[in-house]
Amino acid sequence: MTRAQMRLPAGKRTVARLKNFVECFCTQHELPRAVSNVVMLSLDEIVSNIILHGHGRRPSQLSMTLHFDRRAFSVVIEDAGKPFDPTKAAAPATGGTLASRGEGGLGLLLVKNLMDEITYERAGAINRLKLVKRL
Amino acid sequence: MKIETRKVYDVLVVDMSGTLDSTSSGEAGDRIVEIAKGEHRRVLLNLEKLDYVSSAGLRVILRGAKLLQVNRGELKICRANSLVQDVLVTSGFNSLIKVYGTEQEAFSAFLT
Repeated sequence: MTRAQMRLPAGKRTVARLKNFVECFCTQHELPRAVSNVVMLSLDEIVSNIILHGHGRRPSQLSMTLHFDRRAFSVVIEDAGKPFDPTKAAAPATGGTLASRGEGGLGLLLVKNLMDEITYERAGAINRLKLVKRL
Repeated sequence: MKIETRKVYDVLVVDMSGTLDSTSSGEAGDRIVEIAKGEHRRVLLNLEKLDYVSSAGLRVILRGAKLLQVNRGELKICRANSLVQDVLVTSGFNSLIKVYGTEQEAFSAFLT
């Protein structure tokens, strides 16, 4: 069982710093590239959303906990932004023509498709999202 | 993220490597718009060396494809890895933009 945690302010460089952390963690523990890519893609979507919509003008902290054992890799992301449950977000339209096609809402759809489990809870003033990828 | 271009027949091949995500999409978007507004009407994105594409990256590709279509051109994709292919299918992009296994298949499709 291996675990690592990172806490940092929510801001412009947050996504890049979290992804660097995941990449180093996965390299260090020799996890398959396919797993680290899926985790980094999902983090990109989730954390970009939190930074864009979750905080308004209030500076806030964000934390990420990585954990893996023989069966699964999990990521827990916590932030003190507005309550938001990504598991209940409406699915975007994925049909239509090139000219008519909208650009929004795809991120959460990708995360739901790539991850094996997604659970959300609001714990006091904290959003806690857990993503699990089976190994 | 690195973007390089080369000309094969009358197709501009755009080799993308690294990751196309929220961190790189600003710069990549500017480059793709510049390419789509350029002289080449046939543009092929070779994604062989692209690790993954996020929704921010998909928006970059969509913008390029739309711009080319408006200017009577076309954008195609080839050599996407299994994760990128998965993302293209989940998002429905594979029904908007043609995706090929090899460059040669894409070149042939441009000619027909």
